[in-house]
Amino acid sequence: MVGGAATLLASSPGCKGSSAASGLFSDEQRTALRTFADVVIPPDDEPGGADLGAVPYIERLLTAFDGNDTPAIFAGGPFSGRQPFPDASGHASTNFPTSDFADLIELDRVSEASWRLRILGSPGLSNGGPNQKLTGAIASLRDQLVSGLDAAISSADPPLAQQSPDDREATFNAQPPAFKNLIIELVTEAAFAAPEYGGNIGLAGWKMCHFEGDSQPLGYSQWDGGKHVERPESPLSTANPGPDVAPISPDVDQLLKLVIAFIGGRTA
Amino acid sequence: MRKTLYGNTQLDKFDVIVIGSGAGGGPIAHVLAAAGQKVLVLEAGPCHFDNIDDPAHDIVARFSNDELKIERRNFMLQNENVEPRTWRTAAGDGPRIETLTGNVQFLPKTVGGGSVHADLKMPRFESQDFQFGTLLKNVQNASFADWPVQYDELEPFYAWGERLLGVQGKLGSNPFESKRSGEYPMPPGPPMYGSLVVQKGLSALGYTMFPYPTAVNSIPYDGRPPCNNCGFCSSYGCPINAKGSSAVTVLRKALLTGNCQLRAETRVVRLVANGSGTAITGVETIDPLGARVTFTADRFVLAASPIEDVRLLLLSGGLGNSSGMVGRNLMFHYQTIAFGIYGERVHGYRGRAVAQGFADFRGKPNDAAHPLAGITEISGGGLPVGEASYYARVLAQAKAGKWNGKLFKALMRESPARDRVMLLVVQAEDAPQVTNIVDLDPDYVDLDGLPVPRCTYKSHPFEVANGQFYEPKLLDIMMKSGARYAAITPRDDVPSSQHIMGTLRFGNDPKTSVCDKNGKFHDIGNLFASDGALFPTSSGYNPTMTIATLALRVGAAMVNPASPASVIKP
Repeated sequence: MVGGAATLLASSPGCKGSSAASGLFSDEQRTALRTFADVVIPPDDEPGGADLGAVPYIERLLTAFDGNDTPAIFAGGPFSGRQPFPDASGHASTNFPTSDFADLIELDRVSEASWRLRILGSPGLSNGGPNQKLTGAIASLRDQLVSGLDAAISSADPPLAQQSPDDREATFNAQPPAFKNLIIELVTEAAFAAPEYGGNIGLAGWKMCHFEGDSQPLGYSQWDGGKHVERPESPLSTANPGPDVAPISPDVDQLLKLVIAFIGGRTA
Repeated sequence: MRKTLYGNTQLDKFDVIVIGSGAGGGPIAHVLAAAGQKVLVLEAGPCHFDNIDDPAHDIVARFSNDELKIERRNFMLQNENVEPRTWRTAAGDGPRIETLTGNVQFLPKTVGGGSVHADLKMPRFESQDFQFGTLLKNVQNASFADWPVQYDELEPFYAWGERLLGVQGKLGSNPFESKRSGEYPMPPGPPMYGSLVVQKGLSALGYTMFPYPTAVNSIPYDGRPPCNNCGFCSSYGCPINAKGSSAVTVLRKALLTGNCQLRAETRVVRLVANGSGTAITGVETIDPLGARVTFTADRFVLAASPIEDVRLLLLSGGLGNSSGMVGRNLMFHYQTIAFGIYGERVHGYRGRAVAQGFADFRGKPNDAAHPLAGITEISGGGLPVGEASYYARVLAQAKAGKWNGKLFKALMRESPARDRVMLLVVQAEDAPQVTNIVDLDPDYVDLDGLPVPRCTYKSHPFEVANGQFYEPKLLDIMMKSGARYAAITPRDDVPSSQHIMGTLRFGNDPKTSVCDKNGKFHDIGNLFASDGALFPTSSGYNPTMTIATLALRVGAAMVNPASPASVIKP
C-alpha cells in the first residue's frame, strides 16, 4: 500500500521544493498512521484517508523546515492551472494558466517564527517562544504525532495490522482526545485541501464530496462583455441540473434531527 | 530576497507617516499623496500584490482558491502563537480568561489589511446611526454618543469612497437606506441561488431583500476585471483583484503618484513624542529582518485597527489620554446567526459569499416593536476542509467522542453543512461601554517581547435582548423558505465579530473623546486616527465603507482643514 501511495504521489501536482519525507516516521509508525487515516475516512468504493494521501501530506508539513528550500507551508497563487481562462463569449476556453500553486511562498519573519514554533515546538525558536516562561515549553507537532502513534502502537492488542476495521475504529476511539483530534484534523486537511500539499490524490477528496475545487480563473460566472454567463453544469444563480448526486440518507437525517433538537432549532 | 519596499523608494523625508495600509490607511494615503504630500505607509504584514507600484503592469496577487492556505495555515491573519491577544469580561476575572484566543485577533496583517480578506460588504450607515447619543441617552451603563459629523456631511465622502473602491448596488433597493446623491458606481452582480431560495421566506413574511452593496466589480471597473464569483471570497484575498481592497485601489493610486512609499513587514513599536507628549517626532519600527529603525515626519496617522492603535499608544507611554478614554468603548457587532439546511443543494459556496441582504431588522431607537439590531446578510456555506471540521465537532458531541468514519464520509458526500446550508447573519448595534477596553496584558508578550493587547469585553443587555427579539423571526424566514431544519448558532462569550470599532472615540469635547471632528488627537497636535477606532457607536451596518469614508475625510481635513469637502475629486 505504501508503494501504491508513493506512485500516486509521484503523479500528484506537488509544490516545488517539497518532497515526501523519509526518516520522520518509522515503518511501523507510518503503517499506524495509514491505519488511522482509514479510520477517519474509511475506504469503500472511493478511497479512504490513506489513499487520499494523509501520510505524504503530514510528512510534507512536518518536514517543512528540514531542508534549505522554502518551507512547504503556503502554495503560490493565483491559479492552479486546473481551470481554464474564459473565452470572449464567457465560456471555458482551451487556454489554461500555468500552475502558480506549484511555487511556494517565502515566509516572512513572523510567519516563519510561528510555523517553527508549531512544527518544531519550543526548540524551533532561540528563545523557546515568546511566552515559554508562562506556558512552559511548547510541544512540537512532530512530537505530538510521533509519541501519539507510539502510544497507540504499544497499546494495540492485537496489533493494529491484525485488527478488523471495526476494532481499528475502537482502538482509535480509545486514544487520548488531543491525539485523536490531531489525526482527524490532519487527515481531513489532506483529503480535502488542494493536492499541491500532498493529499487529495487524483482530486479524489473533492470528487467524494462533490466539490468542483478551485475555480479560478473560470469561476462560476464569466463576463462576456455585456452580461454574466454561467456554467451550465455548475450554475451560480439557478438550481443544479439533474438529480441530487447524494441525497440526505436516513443516518445523516437522524444525526441532523439530533443536533437540531439539542440546540433548540426547528424541524420541518 | 523578499520585496518589502514599494512606490517611490528614493523618498527619505516625509510629510506624513501612515501606520497601517487597510481600509483606514489606504484611503488617507491616497488623499495626501494626491495632494502632493510625501507619505510613508508602514505595514506590519507582508505584501502579496506583485506590481502594486508598477504602472506598466496589472497587479498579480498571491491569493488563490486555496482553503488550506487561507483558512488553516493563516496566510494573512495574525499568528496567535507568536502574536497572542488575551481576553476577559471584566477586571474581576483576573488578568485574563483566555490567552492565544483567535476571536479577538482575526484581522489580517497584510498590505491592504482587513479590506483584503473581507468580502467587502460596503453599506453606508443610516442617518439615525450618527445620533444615538441623543436618541439612546437613557440606556443604563452604556455610553452612546452623537457623532461629531452627521450623515449629510459625510454623504459626499461616502460617494467618493464608493467611486474609489468600486461599489456595486442598486439605488433605492434598501427601503431603509438614507438619501444618496446618486446611483452606485456599478450595478449589482448576479445573485446566488441560495439567496433566491431564502427570498421565498422573506417575501412570504413581508421583508425586502436587496442586492448587498459590495466593493466587488460587477463589470470592468477602474482597470480591474469583473468578479467571476469563484466562491472563495469571505476571508480570501481576490486572485483576480475584482475586490476593491484598499491595496488594489487607493493604495496603488497613492503609490503611482510618486509621492508615496510603502514599507511592508515593518511594524511600528513606539511613537516617539516630545517631552510634553504634545507632538510626535518619529516612529520606532522593527524592519523585515528584525532590526530597529526610526522614521520621522511632520504628521502621523494611526490606522492599524482599533486594538493595535491603542496598543501602540500604550507602548509609547500612554499618549493622548488626558480624557482617560483611550482604549475605552471597544465595540464588536453583536452577531446573531441562523442557519437553514435544505433538502436540495443550494450550492451557497459558489459566488461572492454574500450577494443579497435585508435591513428589516435594523430597527429604530426606543421602538419596542422594532428594536435596534442590524442589516442581515444572506450567506452561503463554507468549503470542504472547514466542513469536515464542523462534522468532526458535531460527531464528537453527538456520539460522545466516538469517531464514526462511515457517518463522517456520508456527511461529506451529502453535505448538509456546505452544499445545502444558507445563513442569515445579523450585524447588530453593540452598545458602547466605557468598561469594554483595550489595554496591555501584564504578562504575555509577542515575538518581539512587547506586551500584547488585552481586550476586556462583555456584551450589554441592550444588544443581547435585541438579538433575542429577532431570533424567532430568523427561524421563521428559514422555515418559510423551505428549509428542512433551522437553528440559531450557539454563541460564545468571546467576541467573534471581525468588525472592531471604538477605542479612540472622536467628538467635540476633549473631556469625553480622544480625537476631534477631523480625527486629530485633542492632546497631540500632529497625530491623527483614521480607522474604526474613531467610531463613537457601531451602527448595525458593516463598518468598512464608513471606515474608508472617515479616512477620506480625515485626509481631506489634513489637506484643507477649513473645507475638507473641497478636496473631494469627482
